[in-house]
Amino acid sequence: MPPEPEDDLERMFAAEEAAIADEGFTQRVVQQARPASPWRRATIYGAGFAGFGFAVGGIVDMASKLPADWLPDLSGVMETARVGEAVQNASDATQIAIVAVIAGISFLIAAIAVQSR
Amino acid sequence: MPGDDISETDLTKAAMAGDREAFGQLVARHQASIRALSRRLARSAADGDDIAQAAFLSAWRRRSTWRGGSFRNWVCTIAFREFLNARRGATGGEVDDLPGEGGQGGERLDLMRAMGALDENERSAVTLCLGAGLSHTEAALAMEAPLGSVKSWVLRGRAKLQKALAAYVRA
Repeated sequence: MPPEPEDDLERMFAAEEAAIADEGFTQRVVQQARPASPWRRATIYGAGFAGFGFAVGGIVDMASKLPADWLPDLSGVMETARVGEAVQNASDATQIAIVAVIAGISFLIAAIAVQSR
Repeated sequence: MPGDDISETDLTKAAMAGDREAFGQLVARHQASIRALSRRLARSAADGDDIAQAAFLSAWRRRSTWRGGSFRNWVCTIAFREFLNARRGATGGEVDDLPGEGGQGGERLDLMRAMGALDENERSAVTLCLGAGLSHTEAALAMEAPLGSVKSWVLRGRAKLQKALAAYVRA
């Protein structure tokens, strides 16, 4: 007579689990489970925020190239601050801004991804 | 081993606070069930052990995200995610169908063969619910699947396993 299937399934799963010996598995795991470096989080988020700041700086540079009637307030600020030097390097600043935005977003995504691993 | 009489809850809280010794005791307590789960998912003893190891280490690194509850079930969920990650990165998809070490190899080989006949979702749901003892809700969260689907996968998978194993017993 065949055994009761449901009980047999559970018994077979349990037997399979019981047959697995440690054989150094725990030791290998614990050896690799090192305390987290106190600098790790600071380094990751520091890099992320540095990238973000670089990106924001680039955006400000880029804003100075926009027509004054698009962003009057921001252009006004820029006129009193940096517009003179920025205009001289318009194409460079735009390129830098684009790279900065990409870099900043990349830094932040990388920081979040690494931190959540 | 010192600390064997410490409750699971106290041990888990200590480990999640960064106590490596407590974490080691938890690994020792649950390594067999996590490795069994991972081996069934991967259908390979070696790949399963790699997944189990990655799951424990991931649990250690992400211990600040533990929100209470069973350490074992939490690591089961992480192991399932590690299995999915490993499968995405796999190129050959080799399956050895080895039951692992220990006695009664024939019977466990039957179980492995029967599990191999299930489709991916059924095998995952059966492994999580019947093999690892997760609730349907916990398995649904781990699989990111609707609860009703998980329940039906478990039912269908169980029925297929029963039928296959009964056939092996008769043979």
